Amino acid sequence: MECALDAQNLISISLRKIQSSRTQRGGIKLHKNLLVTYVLRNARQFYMSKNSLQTQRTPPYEDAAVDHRRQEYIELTGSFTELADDFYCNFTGVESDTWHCGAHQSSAQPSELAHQDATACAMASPSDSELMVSEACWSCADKSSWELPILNAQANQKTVLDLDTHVVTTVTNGYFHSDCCAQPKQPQAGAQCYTRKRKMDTSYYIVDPEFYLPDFVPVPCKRMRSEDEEDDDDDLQSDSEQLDSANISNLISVLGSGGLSEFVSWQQMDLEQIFGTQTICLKHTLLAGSGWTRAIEAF
Amino acid sequence: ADIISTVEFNHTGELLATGDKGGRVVIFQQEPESKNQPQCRGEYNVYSTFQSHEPEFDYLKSLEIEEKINKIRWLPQKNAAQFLLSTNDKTIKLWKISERDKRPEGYNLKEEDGRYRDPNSVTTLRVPVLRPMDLMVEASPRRVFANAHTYHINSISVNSDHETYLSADDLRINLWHLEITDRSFNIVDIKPANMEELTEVITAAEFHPDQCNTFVYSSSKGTIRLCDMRASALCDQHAKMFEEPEDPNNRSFFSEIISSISDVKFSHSGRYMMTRDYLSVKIWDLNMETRPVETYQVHEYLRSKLCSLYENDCIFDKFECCWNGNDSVVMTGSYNNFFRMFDRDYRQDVTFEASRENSKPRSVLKPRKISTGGKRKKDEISVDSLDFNKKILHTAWHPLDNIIAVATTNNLYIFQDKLN
Repeated sequence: MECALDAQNLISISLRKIQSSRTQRGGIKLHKNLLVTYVLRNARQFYMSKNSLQTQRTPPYEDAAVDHRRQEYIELTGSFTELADDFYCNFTGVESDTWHCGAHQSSAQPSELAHQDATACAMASPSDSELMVSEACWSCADKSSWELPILNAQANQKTVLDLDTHVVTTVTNGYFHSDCCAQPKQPQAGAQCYTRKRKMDTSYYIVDPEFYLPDFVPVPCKRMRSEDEEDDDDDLQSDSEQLDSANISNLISVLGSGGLSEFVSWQQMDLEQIFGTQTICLKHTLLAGSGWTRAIEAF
Repeated sequence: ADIISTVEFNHTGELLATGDKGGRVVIFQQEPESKNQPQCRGEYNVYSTFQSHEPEFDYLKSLEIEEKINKIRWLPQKNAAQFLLSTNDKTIKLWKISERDKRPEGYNLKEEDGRYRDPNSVTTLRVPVLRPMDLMVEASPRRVFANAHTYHINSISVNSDHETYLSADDLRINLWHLEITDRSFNIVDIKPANMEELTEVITAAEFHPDQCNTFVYSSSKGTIRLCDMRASALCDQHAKMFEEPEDPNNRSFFSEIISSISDVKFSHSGRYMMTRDYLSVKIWDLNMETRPVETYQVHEYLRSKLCSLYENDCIFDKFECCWNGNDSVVMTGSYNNFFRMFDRDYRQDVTFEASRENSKPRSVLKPRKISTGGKRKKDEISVDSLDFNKKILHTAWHPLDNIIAVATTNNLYIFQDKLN
């Protein structure tokens, strides 16, 4: 149990690192963030495996309480979406029984060492998490449009979080549906646009920072990148006709660089609130079991 | 701003260059051996200081570009001047360091202070002569290699042909000619078509010391790829891949982090290469790809502390490693201002500490021991009392002599072995 909390704590710490890296001097460090996403993935896999074991052990009469708690967790906050809007995590569905929190474990004594790890790590107690649920939960403007993300171990599901419209969308087999929106600024327009958008190549969301290369910059000779750049340009031009230009600039600035422009758009957000509600959102996402795709999109 | 970020001896060992987080380069020069004390090697004193890189701002991406010097590499000396390459995250610069110890005197049209004389007042002509002056060391930027890297540059390496060099960032490696700044060739590109599929990045790259066609690059997944530029223009297909299978018993949340290679260095002979990951140093024979021929544990006692080290970001520290002149000893840094040496021939290892208290001039460094078990012996240091803010990431070994340069956060220590 301690290790499960450690996994949860690791996820929380990892998200915090990713969030703080966006304001670091010198830009986001690709290497470090890639490693952090690996920790995220590992912790999540461990958490999911433990959780599924616990679910199997849960007696039937407790299901209602569990469902109720899950329903509470579903109320995603906009702060979480903004925190992790450009990060996805590959969930390969591989689960391991040999997880431990960084200590070398012999297979003979997993529980004992898990306890040692628990003392080494700072842990959030479950009671704190419940407090956060009651205090920091936002009400969503359009709950009717929610769809409870189903536990889906299949690979064709992807969660996309849009900074501009604060819309969380899940793509299942090429189609998307809006999961949640919080304080929508342009909810309908954005959602509809994204309906059309999502049927197209999802690589739209990855804006190559090299898109910004001015014409006079020397292009490395051996690698002809004009074809790739043309494809990106074509996608972007056709999409810009459909999308609000503000959406594009926000999305590009977020995904392309993680720079100041996107930070300005949500700098009003109380960072304490963001950190405080991480746990809720984590639980939702973890319990939902929706597939996460690759965790770093901002490059 | 004076946090040392790189240390490098030149090819003769006479000069030692350091770069810091503030973009400055400080070069030390070894004093000639004293005739009074022929057994004592000369000390290193400051030779030149200059500002190599300044902070810049990318207005398009709204990103600040740090001025921190990531790497310095010396060029082989061809004439009286010295040349070095220094790089920050985005731009590489070629610097010329030259001495001036004479100045011309006796101009006809100029006064000694530089003011021009009235030509009408010139009645006689004289030939200017060179007179000695106080030594002045000038550093001037000769080339600027910019705008070729989208991601952060982590390595530069000069080719043995002395004409080209490579620069590597997280996803690409470019080949430059030292004389040409407006063009570079991309020789490795591991950027996936879809960034969602990104699984590894390039962490270090180096040219082979003798074979001008061969270079290696290491990855965050713990693999090293050796590439031959004769095989194809784009070296995405490696000629050899060096990888050791992971021990499943050591699997943890942080396996990927601790297997990421932070430095790769060829031996002087060119037969071996050394890699540094978070906990160990590995020596690879270029003829064997399946596993390293030697593995040295730097600080295995940290394996149980990975969670805490992840929390305080220490697990992301990138330690470098270096060979001694005849490839018999390797050295790398650790925490608490410890650095470790591994003697390959005698299979011995030793830990030293670089600190002001322990490093009085002419005093002998005392080996340190870390207590990993329950009982701590006298003079041993317990793992819990290690200071993780004091770390030695950068070390360098004189190419010919047993002189080492060890950089703590703010200080540079130069040690030499005791001569009898």
